[in-house]
Amino acid sequence: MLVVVAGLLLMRTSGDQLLPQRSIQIVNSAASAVTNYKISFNLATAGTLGSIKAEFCTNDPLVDDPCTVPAGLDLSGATVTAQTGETGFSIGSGTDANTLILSRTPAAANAQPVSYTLGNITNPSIFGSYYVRLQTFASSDASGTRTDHGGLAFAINDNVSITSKVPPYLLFCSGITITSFDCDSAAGSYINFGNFSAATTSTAQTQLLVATNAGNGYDISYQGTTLTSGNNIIPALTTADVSRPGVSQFGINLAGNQDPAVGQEPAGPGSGGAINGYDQTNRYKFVPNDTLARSSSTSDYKKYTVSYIANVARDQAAGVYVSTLTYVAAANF
Amino acid sequence: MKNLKNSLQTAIYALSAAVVLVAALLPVLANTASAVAQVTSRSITMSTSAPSATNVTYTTTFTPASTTTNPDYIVDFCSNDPLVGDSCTATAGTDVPNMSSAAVSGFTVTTIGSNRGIKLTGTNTYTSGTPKTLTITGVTNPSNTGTFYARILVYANGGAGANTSASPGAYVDYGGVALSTASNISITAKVFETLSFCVFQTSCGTAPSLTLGDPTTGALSTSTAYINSNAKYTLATNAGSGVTVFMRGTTLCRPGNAGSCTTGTANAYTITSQKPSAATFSTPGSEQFGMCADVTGNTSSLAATAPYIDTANGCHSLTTGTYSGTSLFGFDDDTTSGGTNFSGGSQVLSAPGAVTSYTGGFTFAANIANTTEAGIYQTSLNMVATSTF
Repeated sequence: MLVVVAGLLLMRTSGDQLLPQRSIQIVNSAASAVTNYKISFNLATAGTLGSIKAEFCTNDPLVDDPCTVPAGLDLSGATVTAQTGETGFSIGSGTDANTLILSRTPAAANAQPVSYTLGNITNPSIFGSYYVRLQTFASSDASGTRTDHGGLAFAINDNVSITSKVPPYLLFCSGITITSFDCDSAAGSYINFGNFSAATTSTAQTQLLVATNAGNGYDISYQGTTLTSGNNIIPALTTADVSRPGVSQFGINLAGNQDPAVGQEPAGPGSGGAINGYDQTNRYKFVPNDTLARSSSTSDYKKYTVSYIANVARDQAAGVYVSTLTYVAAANF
Repeated sequence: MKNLKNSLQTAIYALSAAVVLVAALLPVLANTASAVAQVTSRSITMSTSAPSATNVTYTTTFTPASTTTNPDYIVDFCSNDPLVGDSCTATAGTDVPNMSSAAVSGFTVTTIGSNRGIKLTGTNTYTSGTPKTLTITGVTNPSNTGTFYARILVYANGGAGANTSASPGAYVDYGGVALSTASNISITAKVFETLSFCVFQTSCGTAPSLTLGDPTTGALSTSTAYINSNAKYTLATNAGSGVTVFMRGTTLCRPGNAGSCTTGTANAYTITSQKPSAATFSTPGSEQFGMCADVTGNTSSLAATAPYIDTANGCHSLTTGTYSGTSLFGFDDDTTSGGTNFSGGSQVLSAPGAVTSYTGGFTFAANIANTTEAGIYQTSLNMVATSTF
């Protein structure tokens, strides 16, 4: 009579037990990365504990098998950065490229959860699965009969690399009117003051719309001349001043003015604003090449309204006075 | 007269001698000619044949040749042969079983032959042609491996006396059985811990390198969302306590000084991640960066973790390019626990137990705003699988 007894003995050798709840967590699983490993498990046997041996292999986690050393792995500079449960461990002699010995003066240990965080470990250089063979010993140098043991597995992986492009842009337009924040709606480029009068101020306005994803924002400047008729000019306001009817002067600003009533304050979700005196309500100036608006960061839509005022003295020479102004926006990427 | 008297005496003596001779021969004739028969269909089944095994049950079965009221039984074990009447070679516990602790329900058990056998007495039925079973418990197997024999003897009620198989006396039925002890066959199988986790683009070993944006220019847009579903993963483990997959890295970032995307680095710009909850990417013009994980069809309770769960479509069957669908994406790039910029990473997948090999995918999505700084945005996301065995 033959009785066959079949049993599955999971990596168990006589006398020691399997360490339960074993895990290894790697902070960075990229090949060749220098990173931290956290090894956790439950001690299966209460008793004297002096050392823990972790052997890293490519072939299997079976403690009694020959070990194939993982290429590129380097544990020799490992440090213990944190430990819980049974503590007091430091890197022990015998630690090398693929074997880590945690050592302490042998002391009584409870069967309890423990964890050890190890820094300055260089990952294997080839992606794939790797194994760790854990053993505990009563001795401080991983010698003698092991107390318990267990296996671990971890994987070295390629990172997911993602690339996106955000193309640079500068949106800028001008017109007599611009509806909402749509450059397509910009209309008109000609201002007619009509007949000047020494008694009243002539006014007009145009609008500028700007937006950019330049990280350092934008500058808006302008070029041109004051109102000119042949050799005669209406003097520009080289310093900011109020409107003075009966005094020949020509100036602009980017404010919502009451005297005279012309213009609007800048509007829209974008950043930036008028500078260099062009932001002063009821004060105007005209200095070609001045920067009159600026943002130091990206800007969503920002709409500026340019107010123009012209006054003439009674002795201002007759003529048709004209000026051509060019607004320039520059993005600072 | 004297001769007649002598003749009568001679006849009486002869008759007396004949009576004595008949009386002496009757037992022999009764055993050999009129009642003794061999039981049939004999067997003894051992609960284990391992040498020295204790508390073994010997189930003894045979079919009686006769009918007897409350018979006695002897089951005697010998190492030399099963023949009743032969001398019995036996050392209990060595070459034959040790019956010192044997018991049979319903019978009084008495050991014989220095514990090599037993005698059973008690009330029981024993009918010709009806199989009889004696379940003998508490037997210790012989320590030797090999063959040994049982000699079964059935006696009339009270007839077993001090008999043994070597000196059987008057029995009614008998039979022999051969048994054997053999070493157990021990089989050891090792199942070592496994964790297979591969993140790839076309097949394991091809690093996923994705372009998230217009397929031609790679540019994102303020007017449409873009997705890329070309990152795949395969996960398998035999860890009984499950597996988790964590992700570490930044949201899409245009590196600043020294090429760093660390929060606060000068000139570093990021595309705002979609957190803390997953959301649709149906509002182009607002910065969003997110991801979802596809676990559709896995048979191992593998599940995505918020905010990487696409409750609308399971992150399944998504393509690459512009996107205006209803899937939800998220990306927690916090530096605190649960975030991709935390040392432990942000949990993406988990399973409570072993995972049968499964291949799923990660899909990434992005939107930009008017104010998203121009430049090339990148991220390198590291996926870490941790099994608990």
